[in-house]
Amino acid sequence: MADAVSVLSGCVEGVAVTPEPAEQGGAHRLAAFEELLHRHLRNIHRVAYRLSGNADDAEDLVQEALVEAFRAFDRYQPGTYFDRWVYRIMTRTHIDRVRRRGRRPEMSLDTPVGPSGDALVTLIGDTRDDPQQRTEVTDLDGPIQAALDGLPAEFRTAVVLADVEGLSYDEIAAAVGCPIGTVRSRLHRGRELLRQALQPYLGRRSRE
Amino acid sequence: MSKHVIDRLSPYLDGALGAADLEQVEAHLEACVSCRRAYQELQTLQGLVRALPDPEPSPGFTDRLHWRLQREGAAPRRPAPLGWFSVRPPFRVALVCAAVLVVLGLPAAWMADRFAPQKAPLDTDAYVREYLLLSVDRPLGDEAAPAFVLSDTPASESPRP
Repeated sequence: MADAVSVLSGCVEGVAVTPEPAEQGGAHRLAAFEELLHRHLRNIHRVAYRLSGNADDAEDLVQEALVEAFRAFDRYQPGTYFDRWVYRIMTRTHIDRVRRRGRRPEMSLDTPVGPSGDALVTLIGDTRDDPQQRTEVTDLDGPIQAALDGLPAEFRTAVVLADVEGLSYDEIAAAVGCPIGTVRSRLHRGRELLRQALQPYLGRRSRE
Repeated sequence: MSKHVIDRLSPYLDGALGAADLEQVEAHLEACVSCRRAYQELQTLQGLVRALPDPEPSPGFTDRLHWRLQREGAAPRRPAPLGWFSVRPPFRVALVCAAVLVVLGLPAAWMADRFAPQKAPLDTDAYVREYLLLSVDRPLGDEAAPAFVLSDTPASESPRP
């Protein structure tokens, strides 16, 4: 990531500012945007990855959201958090993409089951009856991401912004454009579904 | 034992409960094993999610991003869509007034027209006929020319010989 960021930084410094007055403003605008992006791309990419669930979709989401943000860059208020401003655009873009594609498996709001009716735990593997396998699980990235992917998009967004990015309720409400009470409720339900889905891992770790 | 507090564990975890709720939840957690276990699991879950590793973008991602943004910057800018908030406040007031005038004014105009006392229409037909009949008696007068029209009048109203 550090290399990638330095590449971007190099690009920023290397922006070929054409002496044409008409294009000069555009180049400066791009340079200003990329300067902010250079500082925040890591966070933006991390949120996109946790929302999308895989590297390809994450990069598509980052690109789509940043192009949208660049078009609206005149409305960004300098001095405010650039990453939170982009999250606002990206969460909307993400939910639009999920609805457009309509292929993401989402669990029921009441019980953690996938669209085919299988319990979510089948998506991440039930290790309750296999203590040996359970103790061997050291990298929980896969199971946690699978459980996140199984959440409805609105719940996943709230959990990612709160627990991956550490945003406050106010900041999440501003990013997703809903009241604080809705954020609170989505977080509660999202975390509860995750807790049930990841019970085999959590139960063991909580007792340790 | 008091009612379970599962639905308040998430805001409790975030330190977002009011004083009264906080006291209730803490008292309940002291006494209830299942809620306490649920809370510990939520804490563990939050710790695991926070500790997720940062994903690495694919090689060349930032280059592709840069060129995409540069292409976007070079493209002619689309004008912002004309939305309510793109209108300046004084014009918004003017627009609202205009809308109110249209909404209230049109029905008011219709009602005024509908219930106004009917004026007798000016009987121009009768006037013209009278004029033409009189002008026939003075064929050399200035009024003679319209007499040609008399050929169109019904027989009952034809000029006297």
